[in-house]
Amino acid sequence: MTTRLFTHQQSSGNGILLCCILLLIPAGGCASQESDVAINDPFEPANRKVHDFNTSVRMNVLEPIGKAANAAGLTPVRQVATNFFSNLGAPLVALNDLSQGRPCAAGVTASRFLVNSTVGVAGLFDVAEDQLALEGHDNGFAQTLSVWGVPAGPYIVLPVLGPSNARGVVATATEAAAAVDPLAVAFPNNTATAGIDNGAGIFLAATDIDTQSALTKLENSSLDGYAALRSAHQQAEVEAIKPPECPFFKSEELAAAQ
Amino acid sequence: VLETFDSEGIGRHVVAPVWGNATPEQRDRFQAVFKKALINTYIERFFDYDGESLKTVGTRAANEGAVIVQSTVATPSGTDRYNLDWLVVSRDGSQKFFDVVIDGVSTTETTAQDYQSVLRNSGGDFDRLIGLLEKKNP
Repeated sequence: MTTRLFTHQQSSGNGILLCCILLLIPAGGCASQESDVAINDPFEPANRKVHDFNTSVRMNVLEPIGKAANAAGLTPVRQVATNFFSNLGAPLVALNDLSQGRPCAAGVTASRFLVNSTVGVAGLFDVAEDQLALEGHDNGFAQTLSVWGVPAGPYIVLPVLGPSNARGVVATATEAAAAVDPLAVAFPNNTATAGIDNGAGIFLAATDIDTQSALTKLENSSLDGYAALRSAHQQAEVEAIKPPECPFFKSEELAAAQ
Repeated sequence: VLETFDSEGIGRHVVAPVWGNATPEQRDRFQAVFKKALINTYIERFFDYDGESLKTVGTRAANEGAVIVQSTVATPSGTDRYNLDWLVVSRDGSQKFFDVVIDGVSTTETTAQDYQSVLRNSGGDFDRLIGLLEKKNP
């Protein structure tokens, strides 16, 4: 896994995502030609306001919830829920692996899905990583667009969800519109599943003490927390499209390199 | 902590756009406060990491003779791990850290962008940046 500061749960509530996206897609926001390295932030004044709002929500709402949940011993519950939803998202990860021309990564994802869906009790336990050292990785349509050479476009800070860019917003909107969420595919038009999905997404995001503490540390140790987070996000975007290690072919690759 | 970090090298790097035109007094004042800022940054960002969970996983060569020591460490909740890459450079005959990269996010680069944003927003006023650092790191 990489870049926990910014990875959103597969299941983070399509309804919420969609409402944020509809409010925030800027007119012509996807037309940018800038490279990922230069700062591309034409909406900086508005972004700064959303950043301040997010910081305040994190400090006043999310962190107290996260700490209370952790103190109440919910961390293992959180872990199991994370395992379950990331296993449900595995087919989509594999699809994106393939779309990026990474058959080995797709193979790892598919193997993990098979093992965890069966031996791992419907994905509740990550047996593939714990017992077989098959480490999971995150992937999504935003990364696929990035690998395909679609520019990041302007930096956009989403309410509550945090840093993104035009490419990320388009990707998330596409994923939401395509209803690729596995629970939604399995049970279309089912209010109960949608409720569970959104509820779990909110629970996982609100209790993510690792992300909350990383963001607060960054804010506290910077002069301009907004600029520091923008830089961290930009670097994480670059990191997120690096191909994951391939455990299947590692020895052959090493042998070939020598 | 201080002696293991290349504080002066990192300091010059993070304010590179204004370093060339800075007066000797500004440079001395900046480097003096940057030492404190560097310590405070690393303490703030790393204090709740469990040192015992730190595992070295390998080393690889980087540009200009630098070496990257790759390690992983448990996240504060203990449910996941971060990749920590330590960039080690040779400085005056000894090995010093120039950067710590957490899951692909460089501490030095993030600091550089933080300071350069402050500089841009003040029209390149180095004294103002130094003043803010002195206020934050008394």
